[in-house]
Amino acid sequence: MPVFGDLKDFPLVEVLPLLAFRRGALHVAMPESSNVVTLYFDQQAICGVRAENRLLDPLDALLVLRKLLAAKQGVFWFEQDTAPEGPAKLAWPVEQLLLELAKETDESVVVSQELPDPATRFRLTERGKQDADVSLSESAFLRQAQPFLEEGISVAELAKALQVSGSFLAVQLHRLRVGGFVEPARARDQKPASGPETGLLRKLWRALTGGQ
Amino acid sequence: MSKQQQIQEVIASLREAVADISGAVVASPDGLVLASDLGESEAPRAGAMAATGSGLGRRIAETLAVGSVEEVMVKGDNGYVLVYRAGDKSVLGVVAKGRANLGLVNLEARAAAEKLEKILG
Amino acid sequence: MVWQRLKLVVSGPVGAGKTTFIQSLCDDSVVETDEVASEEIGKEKTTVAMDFGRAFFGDLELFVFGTPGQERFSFAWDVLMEGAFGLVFLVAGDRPASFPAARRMLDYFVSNFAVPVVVGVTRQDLPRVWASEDVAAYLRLSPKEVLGLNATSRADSRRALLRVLELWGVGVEGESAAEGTVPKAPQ
Repeated sequence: MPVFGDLKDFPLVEVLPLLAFRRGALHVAMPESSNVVTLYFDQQAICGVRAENRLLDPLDALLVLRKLLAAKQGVFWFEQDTAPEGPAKLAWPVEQLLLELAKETDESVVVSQELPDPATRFRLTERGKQDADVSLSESAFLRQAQPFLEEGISVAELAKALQVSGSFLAVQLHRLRVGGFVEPARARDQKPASGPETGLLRKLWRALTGGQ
Repeated sequence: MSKQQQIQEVIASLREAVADISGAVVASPDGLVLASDLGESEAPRAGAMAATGSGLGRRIAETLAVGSVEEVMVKGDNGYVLVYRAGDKSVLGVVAKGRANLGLVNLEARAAAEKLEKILG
Repeated sequence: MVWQRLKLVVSGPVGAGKTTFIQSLCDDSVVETDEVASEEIGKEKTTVAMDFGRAFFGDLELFVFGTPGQERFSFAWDVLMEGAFGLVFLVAGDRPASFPAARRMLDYFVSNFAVPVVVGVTRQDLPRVWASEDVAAYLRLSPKEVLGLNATSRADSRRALLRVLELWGVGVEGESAAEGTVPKAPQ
């Protein structure tokens, strides 16, 4: 049951976190080159980058990774358990790597489908509350938005509060989300769950499981 | 004239014929805007709503056996929204002011729907 | 006879299998409001207002409402969610291209409605399909909120319904719905 997709719909920055706890090889094939680039994952780190038939040294590997993260064309697929042939030349914790490289991603890489719906509510993550590691371009914005994001606020409401355009705000929130500073609020966490009487739910449960 | 221009013409004449119509949208039955004079930000929503209104109205009329749906009307305290089916390929949504003469609106909108049906085949 | 009622909503992007899922779950024939699709969506028709069906469990009547999948119909989503006790959100597992749109839609529901959401990853019968754990990771949900299913299977549709109940904390011995591990749902 593989992880696979096309970079035009699914940028690599979204794929890497999924593989952080897996062991295996992510192959990426891009149209400009006839070679496939492979990223090896193990123990929550990238332990190798293979391109042009050899395992790359750290400097070259970083260059290739940057290129991959910016790529908008190409396909990827993951192969469970495949290990690099040869000793691991790298040991880059995936999360840290993403933090570093995500700061460099260009605004134009954002796919419009990824931008949040104006009615989606966002809140600060733990990291967002501390505002460490925020790149310069985002910190000013985050500081302004922080008080509103404490409680949770919709994109449309926040745009109104900050007096900015909804589409500009959507891009900023998306970037903050990729960076791990905000996340969509969970209505269930914020409101007490007042649902139908438990009796009714239990009745349905019994009917589905054949009683108990 | 291209089909696009012809459809736009139908909307323009409809507006001219009935002063109390404040906007119109022509959409595919699945909600994609074909033409409108409602403005860029409103049109996509209006097109989808016209399709929903028409689709739902059709289903209600069929299920409760009142014949084929002719129009769906939403009456607000400040105006009306009317949706008409224009053949199989489009729906016509009309927004009218509260003081509009509904009889006139219906007459002109239905004529417009017939023209649309002819244009889109 | 007095019926006791519950309402479930089924949503998800276009082509995930919502209408099929509702047909599998319901006892009555399902009322649909579909029209010919103008876009390439992989099938002939698409829902423009809602699907509606009923399933019966003794004197308990379950109303099931399906939403349209395209974003342009988002105005209808909160209308349909009114009074629902849960949401089953379907995603086609063989089409990762639809995942960003799915996440966008799902975020809207999760952030606005305080009811359990179960994500069903459909098309599990195909050879090349994402596993539910990977879809869970992508959507930032816990694995217990995501399951693989076949939209044509009545048993699978019931499993999804059961999962919604378990997320309410029903049928789970001494555990609250919000935290703790949930014993594996009956397969």
